[in-house]
Amino acid sequence: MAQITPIRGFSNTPVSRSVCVLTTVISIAVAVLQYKHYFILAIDPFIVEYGQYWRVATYQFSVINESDFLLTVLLWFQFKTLERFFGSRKYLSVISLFLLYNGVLCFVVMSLGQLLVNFMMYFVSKLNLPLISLALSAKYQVTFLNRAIPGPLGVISSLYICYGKYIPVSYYFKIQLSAENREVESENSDHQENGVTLLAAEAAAAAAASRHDNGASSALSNPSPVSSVSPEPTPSAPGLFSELNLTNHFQIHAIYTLLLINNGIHSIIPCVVGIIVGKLFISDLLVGSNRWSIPLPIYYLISSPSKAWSRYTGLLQLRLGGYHPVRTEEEPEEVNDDVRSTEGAGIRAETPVRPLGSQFLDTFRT
Amino acid sequence: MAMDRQSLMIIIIMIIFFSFPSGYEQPHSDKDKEVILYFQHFMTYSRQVLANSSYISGYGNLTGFRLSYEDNLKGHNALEWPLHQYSEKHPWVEQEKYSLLPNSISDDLKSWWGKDPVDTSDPAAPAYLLNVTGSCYGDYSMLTKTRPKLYFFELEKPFVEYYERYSQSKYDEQRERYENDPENNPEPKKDDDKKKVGEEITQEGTILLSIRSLGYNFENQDLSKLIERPEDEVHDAVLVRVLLEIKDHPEIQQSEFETLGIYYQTTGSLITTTVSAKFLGIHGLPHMTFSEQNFNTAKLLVSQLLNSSATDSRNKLEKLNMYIARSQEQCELISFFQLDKTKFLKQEILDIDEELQNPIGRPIPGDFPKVVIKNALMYSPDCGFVLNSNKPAEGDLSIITNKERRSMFTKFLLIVLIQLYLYVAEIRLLRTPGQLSNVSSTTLLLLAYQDALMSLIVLLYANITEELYLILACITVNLVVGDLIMVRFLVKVMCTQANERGISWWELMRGGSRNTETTNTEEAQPQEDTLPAPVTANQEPAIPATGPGVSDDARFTNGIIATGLSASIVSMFLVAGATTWRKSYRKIFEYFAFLLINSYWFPQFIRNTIKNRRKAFLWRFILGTSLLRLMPLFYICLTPDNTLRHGYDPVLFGVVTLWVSLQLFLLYVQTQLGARFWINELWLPKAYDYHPHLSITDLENGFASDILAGIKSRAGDVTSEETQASGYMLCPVDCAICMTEVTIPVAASEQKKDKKVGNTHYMITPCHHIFHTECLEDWMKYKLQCPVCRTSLPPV
Repeated sequence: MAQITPIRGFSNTPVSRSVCVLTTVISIAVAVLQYKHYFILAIDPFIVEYGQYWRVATYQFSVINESDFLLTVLLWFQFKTLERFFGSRKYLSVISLFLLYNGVLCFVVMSLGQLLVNFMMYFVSKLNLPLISLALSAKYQVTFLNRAIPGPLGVISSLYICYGKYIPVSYYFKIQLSAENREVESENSDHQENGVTLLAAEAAAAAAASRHDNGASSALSNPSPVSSVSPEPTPSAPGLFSELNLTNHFQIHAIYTLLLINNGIHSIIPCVVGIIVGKLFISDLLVGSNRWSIPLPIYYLISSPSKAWSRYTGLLQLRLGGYHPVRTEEEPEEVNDDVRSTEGAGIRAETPVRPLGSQFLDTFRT
Repeated sequence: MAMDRQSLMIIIIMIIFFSFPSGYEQPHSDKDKEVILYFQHFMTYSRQVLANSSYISGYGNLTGFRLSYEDNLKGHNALEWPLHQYSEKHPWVEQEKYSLLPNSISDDLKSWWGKDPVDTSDPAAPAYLLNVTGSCYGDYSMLTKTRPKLYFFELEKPFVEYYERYSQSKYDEQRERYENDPENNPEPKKDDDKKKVGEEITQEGTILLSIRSLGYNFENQDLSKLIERPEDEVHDAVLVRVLLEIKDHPEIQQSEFETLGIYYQTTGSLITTTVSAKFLGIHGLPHMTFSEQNFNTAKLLVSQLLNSSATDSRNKLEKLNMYIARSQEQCELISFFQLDKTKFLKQEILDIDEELQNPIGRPIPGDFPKVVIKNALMYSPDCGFVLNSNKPAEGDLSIITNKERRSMFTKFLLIVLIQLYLYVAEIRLLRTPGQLSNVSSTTLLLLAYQDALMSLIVLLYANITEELYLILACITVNLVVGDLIMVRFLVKVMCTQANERGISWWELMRGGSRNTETTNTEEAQPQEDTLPAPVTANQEPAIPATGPGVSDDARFTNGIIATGLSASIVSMFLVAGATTWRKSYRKIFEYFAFLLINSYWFPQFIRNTIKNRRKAFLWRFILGTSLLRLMPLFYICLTPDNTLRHGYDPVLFGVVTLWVSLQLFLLYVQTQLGARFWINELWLPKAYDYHPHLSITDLENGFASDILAGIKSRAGDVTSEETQASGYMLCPVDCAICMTEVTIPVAASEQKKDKKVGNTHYMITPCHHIFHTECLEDWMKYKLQCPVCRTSLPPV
């Protein structure tokens, strides 16, 4: 099976797994039970008219449309690497921190921004400019800052910045877009037939290493998706769009760009706030980012609910004086994440796993 | 009314059939076409009469409205129309001299109908409901002392002829069907003597109004097309369709009327009439509204409705059939309702309506307004009865009913999910054949049947309620998943217990299967009680050898799915039909059905007794399942205003709860006192002894001959003194499992047999195969079959 991410499945990334499961379960439950309206944040009328400030707390916890759901879950899945980088508990702490900052900041930006825009419009309308003053009324009105798309868009944006900062690029590759190079670079013709030229692994590694050592903000630490995906003309190619230089991060940039523009201005607002929060975090300017760590019970509850349950019942048994097993330190499972490794596959081949579906089908087979 | 299964089937098929978009029926013959043409002229003319009428000029030449009540009393004929001339000086007024309504009725109506309008100048005044879509339940009583004189409405001649042809063809069709297949089709009856709907209404009973508002005319899809001027928009009245269901208290007689009318939002008054080819109630309705202002509003709305349906030329034949059939088969009914004021302002009611339809989280009052009908009066001119409400009728708006149903189904979904979890957790624990053989397959079958029935009912309900489709579909999916898991488990259980086929429960209780020839061998075996006589090795048919090819697995699965599914479909029809039965039948059915499907622990109790096991399931599963299955019953029986409209019935709940607790108690006693506490031990057969003492005589009967041969050959080696001294010979036999030798002591004679000898290291199966104890016990964890000949083995 093809492996999309450097990490096999959800091995040793319990927080990512829980977040993906929770995102799915909450979205389905919200759709089935028709609770979508509890997750919408709009300044007018919810805050201004009804005073429903609890929406600031809820709006990040569920996406309410399918495309957002798909993109969000894909990105959470990609960010497993970040969980390995931070460690699970730290990763959860960072997520919770981002949730808090994004929720509050986004709300502040929206409400103050809306006031500011209205003030500007009022100001302009008082300027007695013949054309514009007519178009703008002095009355308070709803602006583009009124509504934000529900879902953890801000958190994902902040994590995206972290991803660009902390996760090194492991390889680069080029996509030839035009066939003109064939005459120019005849020595590479065998690669160009495939349309994709893989640079030599050593060269890539060297490049990655040098960029990382320099610590300079190069393409990979530059979070702007446009720049890293954008075509770079190489000396060998005369045409502007003759080839694309891409990294192994390019799918994250692509998915994130889709998420950013998925709902127009309403998704750009939380994303931009998220990017700012992320930037503050990586430059250690976010208050509490170093010291805050999520309480252990909550961490256990989210990372492995079943273990949390047995831990809880164990405690209860301890109180009641009954039998309780000796607690053993849980060892992280040994996983070989190497894509090339065939270790696991060999064992699997001997006892083929029957998925639930085929088990059912086998039952009905005569 | 009781229904047989056949008619139920037909109803269900009809429902399915009608839910498909129908290609409209086309007229068959020239005569039909003529009638349709005549009908169109008839409708166009009536529409024009309405369009030209004003309040003072009276009904005009409308079918059904030609005679006033006084004219009717005097015995005039409708053909004498016009009997009165109206002008500015002599206007039409609401009294029985000119009007259809008798004075007794109109005077009564004038005192309460539309008398309390909302004060529009005061913004804080409580308003009437705006959107009345909902239902309302109340009681009626018939006014007997002032029984008005019957009208005789005459159907026009072409329609009469058409009706005769139409009913004749229907009759022929039925008869043809009856002659082809007399068993499955009811015998057709000429419905000359059939009573009209409404003629059998009793003195007192209940009445159910299902009100469906068509919305403001400028918002309605069909009506808004006809609006050209802003004056055509009506902001304070809506057209409504009301389905009236009138039943007597035991629900033996049920009459249904489809009526059409107008709801005035400022006065909270509602008027509806039936429409048929002999009584164009909706055309005359504007004149029955008691004021010129109401008349103008009503005339505008009714004209728009009639125009929009006139342009709809697709279903002419259906409409004709409906108009004519109704005119002959049901009473006409004019009904007046006066709603009660709510305690909310108009804006609040608007907010509530909007929020419940498209929720965005507006703050709305917690208690929702109800549809309350203060006064009601239903008058049938041609059947001559007047029904009156004796107390306010109450009901919920359908948006609120839906909201409550959604929350109810959410809870039900939770129950289903917990049940699913219990299934999975329990099935994960029950894995070995020993555990599986203790589980009663009937118990599982009953549980699975309940789930299947529930999922079918929910699925059926999901198809008729659009608003709740998503959650109902979700419940169905979960129920079906639970059901499939259960069926898989059931198949596993049945496969484990496959070796019990052909064995009576008596033998099962004994635990063995070698007792049939005891009497025959009694003479040869004087000490019968210590060792049951051996029989021939293959006396029991080897069950699994029934036939290669078809596995038990597939056969059981197919059997369960086929029978289970058909049983639950049939039961679903039965349940769906039972909801329309009369009250007493319904009650009996309820008790019977609930007690039956809640008897799921009894089979387990019996099974425990047979297998002599104290417990098959965990208490978590037993208690959880029982409680979860009682909860829906708790809801429908003990919540007085539950959304399923099931009456308050604590007795039913109590009886079923007691029934389930009794079963739980029996299971509990079994775990405490032993599975067979309720059976005297003397009646019980003895369990099979796997470690019998053997004598030479036993070996001669039934055991493989090579054992005896082995002894004989060894007899030479062993000194006879040794044998004589102990009375035992040590006989080596090969264990078929580990292929090593097992030594069994064999008594030389019957008398020596009861002497204590270590005999626990070998086991002898009922089919006379000998193994090491560990070998066979290990094997028996996997399968209760003899490893050599596959005969079933009694559990240890």
